[in-house]
Amino acid sequence: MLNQKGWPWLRCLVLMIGMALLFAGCGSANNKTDESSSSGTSQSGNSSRSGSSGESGNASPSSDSASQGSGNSSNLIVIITPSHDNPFFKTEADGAAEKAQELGYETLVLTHDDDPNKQDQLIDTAISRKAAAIILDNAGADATIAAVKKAKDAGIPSFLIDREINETGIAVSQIVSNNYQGAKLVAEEFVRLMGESGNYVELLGKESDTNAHIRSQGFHEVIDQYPDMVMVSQQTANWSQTEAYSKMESIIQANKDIKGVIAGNDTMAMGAMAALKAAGLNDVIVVGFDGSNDVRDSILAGDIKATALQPAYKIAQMAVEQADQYLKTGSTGAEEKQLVDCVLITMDNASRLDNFNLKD
Amino acid sequence: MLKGLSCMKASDRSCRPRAILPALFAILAVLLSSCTVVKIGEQPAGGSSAGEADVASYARDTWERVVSYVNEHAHDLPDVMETLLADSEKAVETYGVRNASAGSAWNFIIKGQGKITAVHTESRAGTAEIDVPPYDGEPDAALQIGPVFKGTSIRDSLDFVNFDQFKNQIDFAKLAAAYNTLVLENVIDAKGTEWFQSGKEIRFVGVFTENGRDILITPVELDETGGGA
Repeated sequence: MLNQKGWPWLRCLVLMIGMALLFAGCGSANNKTDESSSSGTSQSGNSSRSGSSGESGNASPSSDSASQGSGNSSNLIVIITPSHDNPFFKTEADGAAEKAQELGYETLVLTHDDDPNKQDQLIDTAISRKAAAIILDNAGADATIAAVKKAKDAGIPSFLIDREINETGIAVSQIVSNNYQGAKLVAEEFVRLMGESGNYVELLGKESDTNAHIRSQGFHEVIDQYPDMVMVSQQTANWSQTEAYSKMESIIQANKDIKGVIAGNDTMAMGAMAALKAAGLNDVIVVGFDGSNDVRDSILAGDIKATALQPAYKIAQMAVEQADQYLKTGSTGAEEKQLVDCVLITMDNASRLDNFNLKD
Repeated sequence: MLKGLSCMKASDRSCRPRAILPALFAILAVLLSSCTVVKIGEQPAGGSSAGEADVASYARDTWERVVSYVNEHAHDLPDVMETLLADSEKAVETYGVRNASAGSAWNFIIKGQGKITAVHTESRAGTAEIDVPPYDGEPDAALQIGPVFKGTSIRDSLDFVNFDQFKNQIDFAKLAAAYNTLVLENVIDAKGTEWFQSGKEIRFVGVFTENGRDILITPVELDETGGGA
């Protein structure tokens, strides 16, 4: 059909083929992050995980998980979380390390400080150390996709905890707290304590953290159903206690009639509480999220009223158990995405809470 | 072979491309239709709610299935209550359902009859307390009557839905909210607030989530019984 005569015809056809190629990519992941960094990863030196794109994977060459296969991946589990300044992440790291050591692995604990670039470098470290698995509480639901993919291509399975990424099929497990469910629990308690009406302030978490959005949406799904609940101010304090303190100070000066404060996490709730007390406002209803020891103590002292416990310790241990299972059998036995419910903590159960673990 | 080509003259260059265009659009349409939506309610990153419309229509489309499913799997409330009281582990084993992972609460799909003992609308999370036979005048459970609904009982009890099918928690959560909205529209508002009266005998089918404190049922079906046994 192609003949030299129909020049516009040919152009149309070329255009057609061009568009076909363009749209052929339509069904695949819209992952635009650059993968150039992964091209530098040498696959030749890593002979153990050939062909294990995650599904059928051959188990570790030696059945004894404590021994090191020569020339194969090491017996090392790399644990990467945000900074341990927040005890939540320290608990995750401790929980994971303890379980890993219990199962006979060596561990390397690193922090990315919520910086995707640093996270990327740490993944590179895990790759160069030929880690057997990575346990990761990540630095960004989109930014992390490429990093986890890079590790996967290098034969290292990743087990994500606490925060999801916006893509499946790359990490082996994503064990996340049901932040939305927890946020709704806290908001329901908040609304109840507020008598379903009054002015309130919301402190948001770090913009880049998907959990900040998830919790805020959870809060609002509940609170916005009560027209007498009025949000007089909504600001981010970036998960920081000191920032929450100073933001709260300004908000107090601008708003005389605050009945409640709902904070995206416990450290911000602590900062807000301190600012309110410093201003002599002792009857404001403050609630947080995480289940930290600080807030537990505050609840028991009658200050902060409630929080949602994220089972950080449990989730970290689950991730390591699943990594171990995966390395030994090629499968975790569970779905990739797993939601673990949060528990509402109030005066009723605060005394049973310690280090993000609620005892029976 | 190319039907619809109205121009027959090969030398008529201006004619050919125009005639080809319908064919090109047809091919384009076919190619575009091969683009698959990978997840229910796929949405831009960062937790925006652009996928909400998708999730809401999914809920609407599956509502009939939900009502059938709940009816099919419902146990008698008195049986469940008795077992829960005696041995909660056994109750979970025999009657409990959940699509969430380990550590999450168990849900119970139930049906039953009872008498409304009180209707509470002081809170927007309204409830109708029910006394279940044998009648002793004391409420044994409560029905959620909205407009605000607590929890995610319905979504969590379904075996054809789970978190893995959804892009992130927000979408999965919106599904629960969508089902609750459908309860409000199809079950509660269909009856009207006046329908809920103290003393009325009703039949109900729904789900409650174990919380260690009370039985709070989200109904998918409600009827007035004639006052029979």
